[in-house]
Amino acid sequence: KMAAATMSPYFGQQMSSKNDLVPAWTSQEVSTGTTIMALEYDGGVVIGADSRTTTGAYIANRVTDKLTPIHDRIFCCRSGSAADTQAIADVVTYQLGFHSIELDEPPLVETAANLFRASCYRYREELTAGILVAGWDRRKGGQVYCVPIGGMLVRQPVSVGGSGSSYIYGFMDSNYKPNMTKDQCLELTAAAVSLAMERDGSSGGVVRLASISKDGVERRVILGNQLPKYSTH
Amino acid sequence: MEKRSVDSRVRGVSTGTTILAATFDGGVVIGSDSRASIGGEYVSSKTINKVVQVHDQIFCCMAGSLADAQAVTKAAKFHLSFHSVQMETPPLVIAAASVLQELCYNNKEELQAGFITAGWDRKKGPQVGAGRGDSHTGSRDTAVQSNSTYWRVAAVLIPCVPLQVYVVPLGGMLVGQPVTIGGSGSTYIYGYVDAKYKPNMSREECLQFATNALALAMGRDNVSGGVAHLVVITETGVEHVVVPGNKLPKFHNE
Repeated sequence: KMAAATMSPYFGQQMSSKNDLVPAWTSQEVSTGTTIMALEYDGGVVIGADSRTTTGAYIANRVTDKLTPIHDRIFCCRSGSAADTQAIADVVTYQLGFHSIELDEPPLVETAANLFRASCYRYREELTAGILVAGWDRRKGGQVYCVPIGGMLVRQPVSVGGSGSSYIYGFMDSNYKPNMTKDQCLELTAAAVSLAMERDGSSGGVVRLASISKDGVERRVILGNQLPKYSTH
Repeated sequence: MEKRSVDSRVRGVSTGTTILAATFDGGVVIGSDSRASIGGEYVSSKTINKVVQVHDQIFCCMAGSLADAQAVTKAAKFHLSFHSVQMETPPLVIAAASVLQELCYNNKEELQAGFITAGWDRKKGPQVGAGRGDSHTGSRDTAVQSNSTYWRVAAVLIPCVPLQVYVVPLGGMLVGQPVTIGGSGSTYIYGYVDAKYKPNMSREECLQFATNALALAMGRDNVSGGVAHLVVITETGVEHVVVPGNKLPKFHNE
């Protein structure tokens, strides 16, 4: 049973409110309040994420890697509860690996997405997980599947997720065009994630990017001082 | 979601909305959508004009509780006209913003209103300011769920100062900025505005920028919609532009 493994939060809060020596974040669940993104291009996918994990107001990890490999050419972007998403990703990695050995060929992205959806939907009451599944397979090329909180599954050419995503819907709607090249996708992802990091308190750190195609996976990191700058007021 | 609809049934008609104001070279554009809804369940008006004139060249944008916003702008209108008679000169935009700030701050417990003030005065040219009156300070809450950021904000746009807009957010602070956005729909266009706005644009560029921003927000926020009301304020006067729904710019996924 995949229950979120935290101490009863009610008990924790009682302790904190009575005792000023115990900071509030010791009783708050670790969350990847975040900005994640995935786009399809002709021949593969580009995925991106920020790198901040928070426990309440404390940044538990400022260099988190939210782009998790599930198989050779399939990744997932995690948002929501850090524990929940790690647990689900581990389960799906196992299930997919087993399935791929049985099949004796690389698994389909749609299969991985359905495995995520199965877990997220079955345990929807206990979980807080918003996941983007992206990868490349021989049948359909680059694909992005969105599995938001609640356990829906939908394929979209471009998808954003996490708390920071609200701020970049307008930017994405206006800047995304179908049939972009890989470099255009990388640029757009870096720009969008930076904009979201600027506005969302739960997103920050560095921008992690990855591109997945039939030739493999290329990963890169854009550090804080190299991020595109915008005139903010 | 539950709490939101209970709140609005208690508070009555609210304008979940998108409002913005931006300065350009020689003037300021202030605009809003035109939808009034009851908690996102029923659209009570498709054609409401949330851009209110409080003086000849000073405008306000309403966001948040419609009743609160109307009451506050009515009071502000009175104060400003009295003030301008006393001073024997049109009021400054910052004066209008301050009037709103005072009303918002002194009544912050009862009000759910934030204001964007924009306009033009002779001392400082085009300006924008924003203010909000609300009993919840820090209501701009970025929760993990992307659909739960919701400002109860009434915005008043008053024109003033060298290319600055005044913002009086919830609580009654007063801040001057070159561009400002407000309302529930504004969360979706922060990225767009940060990336696209440049100071000292031309009038046409600024108008296109404002129209695009409103269209993008209306496309994602279910409590913003209808037509885009825009007002361009310059030294020479005031011009109203209304862009009907079917003439709004379309984007790739529409």
